[in-house]
Amino acid sequence: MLDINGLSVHYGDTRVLSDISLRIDQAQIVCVLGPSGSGKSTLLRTIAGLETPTTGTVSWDGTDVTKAPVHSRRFGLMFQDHALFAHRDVIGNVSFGLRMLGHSQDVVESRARAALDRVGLGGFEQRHVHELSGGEQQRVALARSIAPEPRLLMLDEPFGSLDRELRERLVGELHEVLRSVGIATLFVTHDQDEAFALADKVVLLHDGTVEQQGTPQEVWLHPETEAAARFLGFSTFVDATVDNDVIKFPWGSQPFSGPRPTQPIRVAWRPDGLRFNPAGLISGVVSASTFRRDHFLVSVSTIHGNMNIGSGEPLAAGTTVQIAPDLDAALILPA
Amino acid sequence: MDGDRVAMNFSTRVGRQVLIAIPVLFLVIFFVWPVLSILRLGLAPEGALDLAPLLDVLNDATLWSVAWFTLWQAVLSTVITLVIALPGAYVLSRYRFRGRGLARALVTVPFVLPTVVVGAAFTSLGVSRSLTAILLAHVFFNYAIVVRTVGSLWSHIDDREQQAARVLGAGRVRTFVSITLPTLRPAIGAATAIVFLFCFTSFGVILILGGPGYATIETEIYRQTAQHLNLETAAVLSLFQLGAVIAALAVSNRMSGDRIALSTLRPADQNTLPVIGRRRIMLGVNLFVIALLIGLPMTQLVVRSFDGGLDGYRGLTRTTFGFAEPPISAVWTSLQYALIATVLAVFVGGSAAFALVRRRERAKGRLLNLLVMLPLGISAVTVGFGFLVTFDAAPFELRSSPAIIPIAHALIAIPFVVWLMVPVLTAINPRQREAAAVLGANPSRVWWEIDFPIGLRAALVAAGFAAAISLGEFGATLFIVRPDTVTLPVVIFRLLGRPGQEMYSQAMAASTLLMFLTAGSVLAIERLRSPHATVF
Repeated sequence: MLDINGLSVHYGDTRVLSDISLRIDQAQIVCVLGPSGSGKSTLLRTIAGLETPTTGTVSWDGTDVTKAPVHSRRFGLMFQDHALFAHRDVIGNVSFGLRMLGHSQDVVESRARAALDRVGLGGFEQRHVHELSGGEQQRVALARSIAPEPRLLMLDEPFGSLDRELRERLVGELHEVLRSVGIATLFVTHDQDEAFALADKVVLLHDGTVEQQGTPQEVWLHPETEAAARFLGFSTFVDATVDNDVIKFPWGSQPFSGPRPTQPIRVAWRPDGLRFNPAGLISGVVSASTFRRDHFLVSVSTIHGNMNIGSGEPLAAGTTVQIAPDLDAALILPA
Repeated sequence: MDGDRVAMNFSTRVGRQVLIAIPVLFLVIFFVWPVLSILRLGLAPEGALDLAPLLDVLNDATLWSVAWFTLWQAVLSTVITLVIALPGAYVLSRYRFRGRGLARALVTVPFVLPTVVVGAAFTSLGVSRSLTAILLAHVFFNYAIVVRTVGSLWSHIDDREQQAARVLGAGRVRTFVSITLPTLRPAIGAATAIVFLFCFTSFGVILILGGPGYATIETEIYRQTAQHLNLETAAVLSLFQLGAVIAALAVSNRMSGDRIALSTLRPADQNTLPVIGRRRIMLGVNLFVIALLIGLPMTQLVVRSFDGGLDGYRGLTRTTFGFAEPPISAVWTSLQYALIATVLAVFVGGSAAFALVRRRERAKGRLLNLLVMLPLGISAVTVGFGFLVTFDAAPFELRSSPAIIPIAHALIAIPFVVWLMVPVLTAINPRQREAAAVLGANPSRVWWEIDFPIGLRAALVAAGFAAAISLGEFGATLFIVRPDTVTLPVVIFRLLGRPGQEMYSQAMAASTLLMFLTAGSVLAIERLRSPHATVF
């Protein structure tokens, strides 16, 4: 199992990763989720040995591999741009890692074919890389990574460049492949849907530091920091204070019976946690309505700041509205 | 584990040193040393510094006029080539029409055609012994350079920038001048520099098509050596030639140094335009120019070679007066030399290319780059003359050895090999090397699995080029060839210099043979050319 302890990486004077610690157990699928520029790729490259950490260690089963050369780590890495060998055909790509292990020709051949079958590309052996579609290239890259049976499989934005429909189908297929192979997997993405669909554990990365880690449900329902909350769709934030069984909002007090957080606090809602209600205590003026697939996102200017509310109907800009916050859907963060 | 790494580092380090040592050793012996010999002969023939030969040359009005003619014919040739070839580059790189591949192959053939064949071809058209003949031959030769260097960039240029300019109110001409030209500038600059250098150091064309009335520094070096046996003057002229070439190279380097960033490049195959409306006229005019300028001389050469039926070809198999062996035996000699020269050039140039890609940024790398590319500018005649005056004594008494000719050919071909291979090797996505390492390949293995096979493919392309260069090499060979084993271009030159219809038919027949031999190499290049090689 993989153990990362206090890992920091600098490019020159720029700190890219700061004090990262995380652990991946046997057959566990861990997803690092974060916006672009958060250091996700650098984390994978450092674990693979392609970048050198300034401080911290990478260990496998208790053995420190921080200084081991890339080729001796037996960690698989599927690159974001796939980095397929353009001068080799499909089978030449998939069999590469097996050849490096020194297996006999027969073993190399049969295992490479098995890996291709596993990703549903049986019969593509002699194809050239440039003849493949984006989705097929992605599968070849996956087959190439899993064929030599690495101790750890790392995937860098595996679906990044594909269109939505294909991506959704491949996420399902990847899940099956990973489960059937049963190796420890670390993959990074900026896409929450991918992360929550695949991961046993989600690690939120922001600005080179781990904001939070936990099961997808924990992380989705209970972000622990404002950065995590914002990344996971909370878009309305209000300062408040806790006083015994009530929360004092700028617009009045509301009874509250959750765990007692420290005071003062910051309360956050996703758009679906706020409702338009003529009896609502917050009044504001609509500044814009935008269509979001299954609802309209209405931006409202209030004296407490901007609020984003989900609505079944678009509202014209300039309309005066009343808003009722749903405290059950609220996220309470320390201020 | 640590022991492994140290051993690995040691072996890769040794490997890199060998990669550098091969080209350095070859170039020091066969390039730097001859140049130094010329320097000594021109400035200190008796061992002590003696400026008399230099002053003699400087005071010779005839030689000044030779230098002046060399310069202005090169400038004029370059300008005419650009004016004629730039529209051709556009049409061949951007228009989508049937026969495009054929047209592109056709314009490439002249680039590797031996100068004697070009001389023979224009003679067959009846335009010899004139300035027009020289200029036409130079355009014929260098059309391909402009089409390939400028065209390869043009084929990737996104028209949306031009369209934006048009939308913003710029006219066609204004758009071309302010948008298209600046984008193409690096390619046009590079093409101009190469064309100018080739015209400035042109030898065979001047010698055959100019006749005694037209002399350039190159032909003068040959005349001083072969006819007047005046080696000191020839050496001084070689030094002037060297200086001029280095100056031209430096200027072009300076000019193309400030590359502009290309905001958008599109894949060439998605960037072609259908031929409709006014483009039909544009296409027609350019295809007509290509047919007239490039197709006609080559066709006429073949036609004239059959003037007396097959007599021209039959004559090649007989020993004629003045030749030790039947001219046809030169084909065999040329092929043997070409094989050795190709192997040498690819081996030495390939090592240099691999070494350069690994250490481009470092000072050592820049030095190696300069050393490797310099022979590109140094004229073939200078190489031949340098070999003549250098390898006439122990320990390198090579003048009587047949090995000297393929070595000279290889020296001339090496810069082309490097020039073809380096872009391919630098285009390798570094992620591919990383992917190989992650999959378990150690550093030597990464090189062996990624860099080597990709480089090998480029080396095959380069081999075709090197073979064509060797087959057609004339300027250097003329200085060092032994009378009993002449190469095909030398045979053609001698046949052309003799009177009579019989000799003329034989010259045409031999030229036709040589044209098909070298064109064969070009076609091989076309088929093998890697999509990554955009320089040529």
